[in-house]
Amino acid sequence: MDLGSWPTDTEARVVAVDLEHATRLRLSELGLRTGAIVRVTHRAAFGGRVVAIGTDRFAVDGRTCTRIELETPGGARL
Amino acid sequence: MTSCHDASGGLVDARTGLAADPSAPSVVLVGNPNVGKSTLFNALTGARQQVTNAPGTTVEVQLGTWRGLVGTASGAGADEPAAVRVLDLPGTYSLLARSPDERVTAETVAGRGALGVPDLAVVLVEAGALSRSLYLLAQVAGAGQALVVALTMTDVAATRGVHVDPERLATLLGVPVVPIDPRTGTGLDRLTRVVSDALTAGVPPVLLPDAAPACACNGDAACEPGCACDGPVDVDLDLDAELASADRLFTWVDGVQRALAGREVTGACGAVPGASSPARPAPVRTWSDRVDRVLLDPWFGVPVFLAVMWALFQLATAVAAPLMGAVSSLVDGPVASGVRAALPGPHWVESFVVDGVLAGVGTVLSFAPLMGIMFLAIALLEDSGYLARAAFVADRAMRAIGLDGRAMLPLVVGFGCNLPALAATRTLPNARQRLLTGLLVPYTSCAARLTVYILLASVFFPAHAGTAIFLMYVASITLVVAGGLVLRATAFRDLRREPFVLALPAYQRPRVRALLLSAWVRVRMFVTDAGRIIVITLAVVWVLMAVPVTGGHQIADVPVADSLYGRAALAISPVFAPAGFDDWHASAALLTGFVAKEVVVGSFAQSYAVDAPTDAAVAGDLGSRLRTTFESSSGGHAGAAAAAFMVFVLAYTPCLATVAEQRRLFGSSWTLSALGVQLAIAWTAAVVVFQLGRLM
Repeated sequence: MDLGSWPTDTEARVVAVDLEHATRLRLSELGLRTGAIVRVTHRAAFGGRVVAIGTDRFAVDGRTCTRIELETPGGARL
Repeated sequence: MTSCHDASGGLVDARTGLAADPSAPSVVLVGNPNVGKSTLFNALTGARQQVTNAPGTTVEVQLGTWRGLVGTASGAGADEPAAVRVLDLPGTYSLLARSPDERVTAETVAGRGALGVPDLAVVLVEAGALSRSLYLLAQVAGAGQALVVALTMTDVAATRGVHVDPERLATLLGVPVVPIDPRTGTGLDRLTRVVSDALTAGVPPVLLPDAAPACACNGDAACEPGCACDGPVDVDLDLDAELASADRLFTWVDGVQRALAGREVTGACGAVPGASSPARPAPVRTWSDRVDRVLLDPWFGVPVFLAVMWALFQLATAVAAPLMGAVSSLVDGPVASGVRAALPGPHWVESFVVDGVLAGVGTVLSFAPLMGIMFLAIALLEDSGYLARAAFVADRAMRAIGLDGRAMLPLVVGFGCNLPALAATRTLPNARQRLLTGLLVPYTSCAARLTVYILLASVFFPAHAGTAIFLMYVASITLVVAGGLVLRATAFRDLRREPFVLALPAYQRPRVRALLLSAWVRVRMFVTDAGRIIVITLAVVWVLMAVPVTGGHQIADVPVADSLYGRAALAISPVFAPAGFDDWHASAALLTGFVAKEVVVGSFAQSYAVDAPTDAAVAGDLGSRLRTTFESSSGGHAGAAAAAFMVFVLAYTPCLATVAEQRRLFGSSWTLSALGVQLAIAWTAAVVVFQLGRLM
């Protein structure tokens, strides 16, 4: 399930980031990389999401959310 | 350069307060955006700082002198005590630069920038965002830069359940770590001592695993793929290699975090064998999370954002106007009277000083409260943490025309006044985005243009004046949108449409002293830099209006029609024949409007030698004169000509103060090019409106 569809306040593990290389690198530098544990804290307008990575909070636009695939920390895909 | 000894014994420039000796030691501040870097810079330097563009760029950097810190200048002779220069570099998440701002930081840290080779980097590490802070730190260390760590926002991290032990972190990194709170000044004395020691005795390098930014080629030879010196903005890189290098740094960062959490100890090379992820604190719903529940809500977020934009608009208009008026009244009244009384000699000298130079100074000073208010408001939004949320909310709308979400703020402010709107472009993190937005700002129809619309609409379209004025704002928005799309497709093709992923800083209570200091420094830069151009230009305008071209007149005592100014207006008026207002009264008003749009109406009145209306909607004698003029110049299509004139006023050059600020921010080349394009667009649009209008 992608980030845009993931329920709020539920932890998830990033499985894949389907974006061009340079963007994927920058997201990795911010901590949004394969294997990272994330949590959607808020739903915003136009499909945007606020994502918690550790104690950090990131705003992610709706289109990008659809390109980030998640699973539960235990490995199950919702 | 005049200089004097400061309290710390170093040499400082008397005017700017900056270290005068270029060989003086320099320290750069490096950190993620919103980590408190600029607040630290202000606390370290006080008002002894200067805002300037990095050489050859439109990237703004702040230079200052570290108060109470004395280093050693490395001159040709014996080493001498010298003030220490501090450079506040643009915030970045990575030295693999993706914007001009990030490139300035990356190149300076690597010692290859035009800003010189720094002796030391103070890397700000946010306690609540260790992962991305340590990643940047690793890159700075990998670039071979000696560094000291300033640990910030420990209080914010604590509210999120994160406690970082500075001693433990210092042990793990092998470099000094000083916890600070630049907002209160806590820890700054110790930071000064540690930096002083580091400048004197040096600091050991951070032990890192092999990673791309560690390349030591210094940009002189072909280097490894992924090296930061390749200039990643416009050079194709082996991005897989970059990702692999970054992964090694992530592993190191994770290891440090795990060790900090007491779960594992780093090995000799700094990497932690087997470390896959740091310890995760239990999820904590913070105060900022609760506020964001409202401010970023899908339904409430947009109205709140619009309310904030409305408030900014009001600040730029209703709140600033009385202050600007008060300053103008003071300069035009008591100050001008005093100067007139004190000046000996002929009338023209008095007129030049008062109506030329002093009028220019008054114009500059009258804008100072407006700029101060806007800088304060922007700093307030930034310092509180809301600006990042505003960018998120506005992103979708601005993305449609290829702009960053943060561009919404200056464009909204532009409808109040273009000048503070340019000031607001500094909230954009990318120099190219700032430039693009700054070029679009003049197309937002400022309040000063409204007086022209009201006058002409009430004279020529009395039954539909409201609709005519509304259409001018529609035209303004259309120009902004079309301009954005055209520029993105031409001169700004390099600006990629990138996903919006932005770190949201925790909400904080703004510090009044820091806000005032920040606003003061920027207003001072406006008054000294842009102000000089304004005063000189207004003095030139005085000369044009004071010099008679026909006999029987004295200098500085000549009707507009018989002055150089009037003749210049007459000479250019045929240019406007296709637009229906081929008349020197109209072209003279437009020339004056270049100085300030507020005086277009007054200029019309002056050229007809009638009183300017106190209410633009009740034009009186001026209205009948205008009707006669436009009827004559348009061959009986006065309405079409008036509409064309209004469109020209909307689109042609912004006021002199805005042009001067554009030049200060973006340089002469971009400013002059923009002026040329604006004049061409304005003329073309006016001609189209007139030619279509005369057919109706």
